[in-house]
Amino acid sequence: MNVLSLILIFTGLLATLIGSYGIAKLGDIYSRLQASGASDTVGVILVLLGFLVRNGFRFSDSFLALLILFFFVTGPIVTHSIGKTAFLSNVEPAKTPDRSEED
Amino acid sequence: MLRLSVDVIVGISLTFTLYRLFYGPDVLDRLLGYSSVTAKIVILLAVEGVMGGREVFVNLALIYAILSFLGIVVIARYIEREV
Repeated sequence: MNVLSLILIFTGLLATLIGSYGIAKLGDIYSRLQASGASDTVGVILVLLGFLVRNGFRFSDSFLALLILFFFVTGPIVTHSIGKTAFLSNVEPAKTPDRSEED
Repeated sequence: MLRLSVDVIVGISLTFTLYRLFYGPDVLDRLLGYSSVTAKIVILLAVEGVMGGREVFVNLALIYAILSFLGIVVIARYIEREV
């Protein structure tokens, strides 16, 4: 039980770290949305699930389960909301090099 | 030991995210940085509540998550109407 909780917690922390590096590094709002939306939800859910497993599913940890459920619902809603605003505000995606004219 | 390592790793990723929150060239970048910072702070509050022996902090994390979700969605809709 303890090893499983450690695996869950450190997988979530790895997802959080990689996603944050992507948020700081990528050069476009849509790319940053991809990094943020994938990493934040998975990171928070895995870390809290690790604590839930570590405590052995006590009844007094039901707020942790409620927090996991809340993030499972609202993480994609936040990502969709910011992406929809960026699309409706005519934010241009970053230009990629056009490879069709090279050959 | 586990609590210290969780705090350090979340702190490092919080630094990357705060860079986007402060230096984001657009309003939407700052909003994205804000949503990511609140996710990290929820992790820190839950760690404090579970491993620090103060269970009030888990309730605080839930309230913080609800309020940050409402704020992000409302600000995103407001910017959309504005442009």
